[in-house]
Amino acid sequence: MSDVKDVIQGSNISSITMPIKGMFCAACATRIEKNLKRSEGVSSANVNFATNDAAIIFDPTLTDKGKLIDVVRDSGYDVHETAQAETPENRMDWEQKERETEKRVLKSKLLVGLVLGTPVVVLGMLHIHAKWSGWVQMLLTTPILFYSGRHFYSGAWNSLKHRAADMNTLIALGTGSAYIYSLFATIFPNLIHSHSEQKMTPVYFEAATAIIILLLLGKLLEARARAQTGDAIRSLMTLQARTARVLRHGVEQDVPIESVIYEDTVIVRPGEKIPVDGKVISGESSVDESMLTGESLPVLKKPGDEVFGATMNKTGAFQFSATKVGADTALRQIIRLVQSAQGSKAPIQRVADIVSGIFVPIVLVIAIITFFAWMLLSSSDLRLQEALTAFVSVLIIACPCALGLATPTAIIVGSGKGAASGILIKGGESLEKAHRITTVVLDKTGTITNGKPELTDCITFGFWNQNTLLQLAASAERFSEHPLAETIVSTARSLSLILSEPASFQSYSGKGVEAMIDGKSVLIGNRTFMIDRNIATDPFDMNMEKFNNSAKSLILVAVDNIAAGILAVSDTIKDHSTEAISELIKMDIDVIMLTGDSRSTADTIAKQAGIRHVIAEVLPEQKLDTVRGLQTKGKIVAMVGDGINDSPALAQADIGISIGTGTDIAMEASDITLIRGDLRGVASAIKLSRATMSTIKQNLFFAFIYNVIGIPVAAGVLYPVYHILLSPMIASAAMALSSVSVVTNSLRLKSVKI
Amino acid sequence: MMTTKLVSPDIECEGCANAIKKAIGTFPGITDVSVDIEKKGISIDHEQSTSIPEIIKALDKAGFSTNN
Repeated sequence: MSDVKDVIQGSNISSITMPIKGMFCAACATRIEKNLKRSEGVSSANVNFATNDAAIIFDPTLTDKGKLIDVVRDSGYDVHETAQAETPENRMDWEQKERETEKRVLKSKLLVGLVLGTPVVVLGMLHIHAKWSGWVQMLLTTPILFYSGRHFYSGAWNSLKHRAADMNTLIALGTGSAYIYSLFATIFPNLIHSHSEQKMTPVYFEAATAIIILLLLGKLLEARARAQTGDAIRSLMTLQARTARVLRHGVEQDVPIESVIYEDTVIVRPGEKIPVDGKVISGESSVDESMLTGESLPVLKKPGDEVFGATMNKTGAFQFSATKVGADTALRQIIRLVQSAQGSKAPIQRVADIVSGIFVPIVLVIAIITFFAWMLLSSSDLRLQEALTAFVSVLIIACPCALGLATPTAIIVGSGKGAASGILIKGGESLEKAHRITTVVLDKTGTITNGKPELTDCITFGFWNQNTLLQLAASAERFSEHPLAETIVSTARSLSLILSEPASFQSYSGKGVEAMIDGKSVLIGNRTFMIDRNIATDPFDMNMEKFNNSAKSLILVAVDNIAAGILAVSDTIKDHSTEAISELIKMDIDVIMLTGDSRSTADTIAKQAGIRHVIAEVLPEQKLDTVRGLQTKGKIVAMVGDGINDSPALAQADIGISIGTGTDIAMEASDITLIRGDLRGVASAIKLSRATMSTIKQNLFFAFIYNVIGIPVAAGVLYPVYHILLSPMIASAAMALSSVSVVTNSLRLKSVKI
Repeated sequence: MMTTKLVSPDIECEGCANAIKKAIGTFPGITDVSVDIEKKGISIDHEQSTSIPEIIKALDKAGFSTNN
């Protein structure tokens, strides 16, 4: 399959996605898009700077792939044509297959080990010291080592070639020395010692066998557990719908999801999965978006609202126009982000890496010292056997694989858990850093508040009722571009009020508007505007007082030169902001509100939200300095914003958290993206980071403690007093257990409450 | 030999600069093209015979408008 994939959509519409090389900024993408769009036969082009690709819909009778590539090249950019694009699906398939093969091979090796090894272990344990017993054990053990244990030896050989030593070296040395010693003892018993001709010299075939079997068993358990750590991604992948019902040329047809193209009309019935991202054209329904946002309550979707692929339609039927397809959908972006996060390293991993690097040589030295210590200090006849036992046990118990698993398994489970709760974490580093956050700086508009002003009060004077006043005001404001005007118009529309056409319309900047509606002269604006027009302001004044400390913007309405009413508009606090902020304060985190608004407005919102520390009247470009100022005071700062005008501050903060609106997952500037647009995710993300870090620390502790206790015991420090010498079998069981316990401990993160 | 300076508001980044160099760098008679990203300027060293309108047309085709 070529990187450039064609999807033929019928006789005269084709779509193609090609990867672009050489883009540095969004302007590059825009220009390529523009050039593609104006070339002949192209009906739509969408160049994505983040994913580095161009999605083009074209008429194959007028142009072709070669010509489109030429357009890109003429624009000064290039098209990748060689490497195969890595989609999450084929990567997943590949990983899945790898894992399956690994498990199958492990199982057959384990089976051979068990069938041949059980008699060996039985003979060894029963102390049947007849000569034949040694020969039988040898015959059975040899294939186990060379088939079941082969990869340990080839691994050890490979690292030896690179003049390195790893866990395979330890296993190979341990089992290998037990095996070779036993081989000699069986074939040339006289070389070892010369008791009697009838009795067999002690052999350690059963130790070598049992070590291999137990290690394989440990690996199999570990592979199973590790497979579970990727569950989060797998369940995201399976969310995607397979087919979509689209309306093309007036005909409904079911097509595979891959062939849905931009601006296709997609039909969704109750109970069906939404196939791709888009904008509702007609119909109304409630949609369960919990799989993407973690929000359990269904969301109402009306025409104009955005819907996302993989979410579940509940009650009604609707049609939507596809806006993002293929690799651009929110789901696919999430999957990409989580995959790269799971593959990334946390800084704490370096500790484990450094330790493993020097660990193996140290263990080898300890094992050799142990061997000679026994040879020199023991007075028993069996001192060679004792020395060998201790040597093998030290090598086996010290295998550092638990150390290697400690960090990555926790990162994989942690970031997967985050994704399932609507928290996307950029990588191991962000996940680690977030647990040290001391201060959370919250942007006000769009973060604590909804960012969309809402009409909160409508006070009318005289005979006016609310709807007629609103209808008049909205009709007058419908051509105004003021944000407050938009709020009034959209509120009137949502109440199904029918707006009239103004006969005349005049806008006075900073003051208000004047319009003739249905023969009435309507004035809308602030108090100064009313005074200018000689309107008696007493009715206004009497009602305006109570809004003094409310952070609301007031719009005065006069009809036919008489005060008619006041409309109060305010940016409301998001439903869960207060709850989320008190949660953060409970976690001993300093919460600061940062806003460009006036002090009084800011204080009012802060009071409602429960924030004590407010930095108001800050220009957008000063936000960065504010964050930097906190950092120089030694604070670890998380900045939370919508990523629209606070990207520099997000980037400056130790952890930049962007609040997603669902549509654009602005992952570039931020370390953490909250898909669900409310603040509860901030506390959850910090809790998740804390939980992940403590899991990693527990894992490292487990891995170390096994060795700290295990190595001396295996070396025989308890022997002089308690006569305890660890058998190599027990050592291998302990070592297998340590890996399994580390992976299991990481899996526990799945059930942590965040 | 002469130098022509053009200004294009569409220049934003290193990628744009590369795109311009690729789009007109091989143009007959042009010996050197340098782009000042900050000032949005393009400085072109070329032969006397090179047609400036042709250069502007090529830039336009690549998506860079010039208001000279």
